Amino acid sequence: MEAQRIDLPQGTLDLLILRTLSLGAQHGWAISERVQQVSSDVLRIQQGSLYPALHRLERRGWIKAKWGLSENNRRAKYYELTRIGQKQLEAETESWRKLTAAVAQILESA
Amino acid sequence: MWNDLLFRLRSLFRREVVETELNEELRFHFDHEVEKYKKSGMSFEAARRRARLSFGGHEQVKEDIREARGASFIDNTLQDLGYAIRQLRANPTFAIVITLTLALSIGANSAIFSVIHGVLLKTLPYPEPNRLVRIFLSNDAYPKFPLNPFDLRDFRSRNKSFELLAAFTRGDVQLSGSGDPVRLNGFGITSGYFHTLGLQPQFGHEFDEKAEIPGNGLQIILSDRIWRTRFDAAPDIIGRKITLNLQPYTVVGVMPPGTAHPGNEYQPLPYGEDVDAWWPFTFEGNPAQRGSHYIEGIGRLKMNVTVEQARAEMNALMTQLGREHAGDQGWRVLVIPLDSEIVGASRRLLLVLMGAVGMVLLIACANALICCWHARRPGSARFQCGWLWERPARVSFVSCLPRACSSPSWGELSAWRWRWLASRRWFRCYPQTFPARMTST
Repeated sequence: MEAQRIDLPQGTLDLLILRTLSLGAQHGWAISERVQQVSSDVLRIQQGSLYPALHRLERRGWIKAKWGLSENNRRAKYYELTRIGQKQLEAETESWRKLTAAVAQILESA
Repeated sequence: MWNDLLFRLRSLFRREVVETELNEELRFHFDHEVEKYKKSGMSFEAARRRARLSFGGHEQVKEDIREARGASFIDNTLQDLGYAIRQLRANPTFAIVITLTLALSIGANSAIFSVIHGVLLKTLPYPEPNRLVRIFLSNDAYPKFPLNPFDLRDFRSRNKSFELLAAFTRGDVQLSGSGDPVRLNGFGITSGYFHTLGLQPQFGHEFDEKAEIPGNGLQIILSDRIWRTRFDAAPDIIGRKITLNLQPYTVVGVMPPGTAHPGNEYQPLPYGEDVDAWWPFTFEGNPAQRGSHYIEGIGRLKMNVTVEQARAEMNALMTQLGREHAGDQGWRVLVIPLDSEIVGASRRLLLVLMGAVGMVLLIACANALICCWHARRPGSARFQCGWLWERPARVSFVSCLPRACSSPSWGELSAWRWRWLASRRWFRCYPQTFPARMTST
């Protein structure tokens, strides 16, 4: 029995990618696996959205890419957080906290 | 910003490398997916199928990534442009017809607009031009007739509506002495003529009333152009004697460049020509004889005097003069604002023309767009690969670009041609004054 999956709200994909990369450089597949594992299978990133998002973040300069060797000795493209990306992550985490807290407050007040 | 630009440029110019990397990256992901499903107990084939399913459309993903890299817009536009140029080469007649249609209508628009700009939009080149009026006589036989000099002199001394009243009449002069003799466009002017217009000479002074006395008339005011071209801009020109009509005239003034002629009815100055010499008009003959009419009146209204008030006063004066002189009976006085005298009836004509050529341009554009839209070959393979409407629309738009780019240059050429035509033929029946001179756009 698979856990019930939730579609990612708009704009959270970037946040999840940045957060995952803050633990160290990763390639695309590892990012999607890690998000899935850590969220206990609730969140799953489609490749169709993951890679465009990675390239977009790279274009903005929040992450940078370099080629390296994977665990099974294949050439893989690793992404890592840049300094701007780090700041962006902090800012977005902060605003996400505020948002969820505010939404929760409203939901519980009723 | 900088990063963004470099990134886009790399996507654009290192396209093969970027594409290979993209394929490798997606392949890596796909293989890991297959591996994952195999580990969960699937057969190799089933795992591949599953991975492919979860991956979604491979080409679509790649297109999205290109989009995200920011290169696809430029890339697609370049492709479309290439397509458009190939199409033009494949069907040159079509291309030429579209380009010519656009060129002609752009040209006509630019020509008409330059006339409108010159005639309707620019104000007259005099201070407070709304106080300037032209004065004519009128009766049933001659609806718009010049003045008799002595009538003008009486108007000038008796009126209360005008700050200044002056008159002018065409009379060209022959300049000789240095170099070949030339004919100069000349006008005889009363004292206060330039003051009425709000102008003054850059050197010297304009004629005073003494110059109007017969025998005092051998004085001349030159245009800036003649002063520069015939007298090498000599600083000591004032007071010098020059030979006009084989007689020695003393130069008393030089007008500044751009001194505009306010237009005239009696022996009018042809369109586009400048006045080069002004000589003093002298009141010769018998003041009791009011038969001959050959000078044109111009006046500057006093502050807060309306054209209607001035017209009423002038007509009262004319009735009075009619009682004094038999030759002054039966005339009405026309007082016409200078602006409407110059632009007058042509305003509506010009607006209608502008509307007409505007419509022609619109039709030409619609034509070009429709042709380009048809040119996108809906049956071709390119248009069946799941393109949305947006791409064909862009192809059509881009197809228009080479035409549109070439059209304005042709348009400019044709505008020049239109202007030439207009100045030759059409403008002959146009108010023959300075504002009708066309500006280049």
